[in-house]
Amino acid sequence: MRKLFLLIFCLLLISGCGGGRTVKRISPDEVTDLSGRWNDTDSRLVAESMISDMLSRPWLIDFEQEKFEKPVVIVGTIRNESTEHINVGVFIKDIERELINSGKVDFVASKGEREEIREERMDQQMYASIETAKKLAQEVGADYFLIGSVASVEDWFEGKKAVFYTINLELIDVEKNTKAWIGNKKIKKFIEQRGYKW
Amino acid sequence: MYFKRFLAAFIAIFILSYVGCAYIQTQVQHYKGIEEDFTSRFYSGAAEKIEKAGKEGKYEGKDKVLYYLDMGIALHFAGRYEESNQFLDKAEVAIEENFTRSISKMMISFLLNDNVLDYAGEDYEDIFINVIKNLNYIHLNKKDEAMVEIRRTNLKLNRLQDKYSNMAEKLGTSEKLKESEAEFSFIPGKTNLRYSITGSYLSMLGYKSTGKWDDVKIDRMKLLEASSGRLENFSKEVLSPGAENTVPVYTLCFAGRSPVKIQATLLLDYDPDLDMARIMMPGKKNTEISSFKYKGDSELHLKFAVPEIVRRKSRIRHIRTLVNGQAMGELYLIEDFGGIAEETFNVKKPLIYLRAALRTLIKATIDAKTKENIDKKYEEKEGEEEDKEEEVKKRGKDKFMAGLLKFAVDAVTDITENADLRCWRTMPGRVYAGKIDLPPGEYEVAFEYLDERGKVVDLEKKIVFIDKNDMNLLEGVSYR
Repeated sequence: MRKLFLLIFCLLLISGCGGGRTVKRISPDEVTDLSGRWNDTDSRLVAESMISDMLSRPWLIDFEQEKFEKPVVIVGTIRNESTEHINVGVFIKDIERELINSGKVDFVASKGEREEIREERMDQQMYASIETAKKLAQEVGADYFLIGSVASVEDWFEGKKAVFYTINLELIDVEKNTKAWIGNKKIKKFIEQRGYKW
Repeated sequence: MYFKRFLAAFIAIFILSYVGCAYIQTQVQHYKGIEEDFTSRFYSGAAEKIEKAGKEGKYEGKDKVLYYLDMGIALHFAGRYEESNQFLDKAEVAIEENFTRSISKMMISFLLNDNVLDYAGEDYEDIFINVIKNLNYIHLNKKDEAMVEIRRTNLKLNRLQDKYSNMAEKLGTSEKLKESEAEFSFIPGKTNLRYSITGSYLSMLGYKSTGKWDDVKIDRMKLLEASSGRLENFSKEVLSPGAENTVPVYTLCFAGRSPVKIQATLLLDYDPDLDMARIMMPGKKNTEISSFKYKGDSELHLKFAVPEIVRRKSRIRHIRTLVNGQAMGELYLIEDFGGIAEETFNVKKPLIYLRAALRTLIKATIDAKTKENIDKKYEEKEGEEEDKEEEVKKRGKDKFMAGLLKFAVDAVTDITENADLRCWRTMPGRVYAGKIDLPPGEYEVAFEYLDERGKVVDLEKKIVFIDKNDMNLLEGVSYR
């Protein structure tokens, strides 16, 4: 009987034990797959791989040979069609960074950013000196518009989950409405959750 | 020596009765004020009370899901949609984490009761999280995010379809139960929880707004299947094109309060000659509801506590929409969580009852053995000290001590006999929906909550702006 009470006491003690929290700094490039959900590593790796693919395709050489200049690209809407709340803004910034850093294309600010800058330019017409005020109607129009989507398919059974992400990007010629490039990247994750713990 | 034993018995009872309040008993006292605030539409006040109750330890770590759910729904109705989503996100994650069950807690639960386990939420509660999050995103005008919630709802419903078909199958022909010689004669209930009418309705509206008509068709089929065709006219109405120069305005109202669990007492009779334990419903004539094989030493007649689902009363029977004071028709009752709660509970009932009955038998055995040991110990002492007259007083003390220790054993058994009554008490009970067509513009929209005689029991008014580019979903609620 004593042993039984000892067992109950130990179980109560174990169940009541909670781990303390520790924090340590790690490199932002380090892969941290914790929950199995879409994370910063997925966003960065997909952006790197897809933009590298996009810039290695014939449309870029064709444009340069025809116009003797770098194409101007703008990133439009990337839609989240997955089963997770993905911060699409982070993914868009990763794409923009890859495009700009490649040095192969020129890049124009997004719709929201442009509106803010236009407001500033209008302000300058009123309040800045004539020498420093920036001219109106001097914006560079984009040649290509990049849009896309992130979709996912999930399969789950008794603690085992397989998530399949498919990311589609399409580069559209703004003048002709033709599609210059379509890229697709797939990620598959297998997540296993234990049924029991102490 | 006596003082030490007395103190040990006292401390054991004290700890169990004190800790028991939070650890082995469902906490519901703090809901009184919270529910009053919900009824009087003072949702921010309810959120404050929930937060305060959390700080006061009314929501133990094992009940954190309930805290997140209560906060999430209070903040939703308070119009604090971002905050509501934060809490509901946490609830969803905590429910997912609870898939991993703690062996130590399961063992304790087998000796004490199911209240010591982490609350993982009922399946219909888990689905309702996504319904509310979906509404939050619609109100925040985040269409893509709202669609994520729709997809998550469908995903969860698919999982539940597998879960319940497996569970019913397992309970029907469980090899494990046969191996343990527990022949259980319960017939597992059936559930329709692979469908969520509210989820399908919102999904239908979401896909309609994005022009995905194939998906709209699938959701309409699900809606009709789940309602056994009852909502045929409703679905036609929702999908019908409105008059020229009007835009569809969808209405969704919640009424009443969700069902709750109450404690019921069952009887357990064990006959050692038959090696058979019978679970019975007490009454004038005890009705046997189940039996299972068990090997014990002596005849037992025990009482034990189990949860039962009960619907809470609501005066609301109909909901009418008024636009600028003009009646625009009644809403359809699309979903009743009372029925869903009963269905899902019936599926799990055999397992809950079996666990509770086995726990009672184990506790009774421990109880009997402990008392036997106490008796033996003090009888031996009596024998040793029989001839010494000066020990008469001491013998009296021994008897008192034995009685006290036995009382402590009984008290521990009684204190730990509690059914797990945890559930999302602040969840609404029924869902009503409808559609009206209005030209774009500003309107005063009112929801009249009517009783069975058509008397208005609650009224909710709001000024809304109908935009042709918006989804135009108007939400109402009355907890009366």
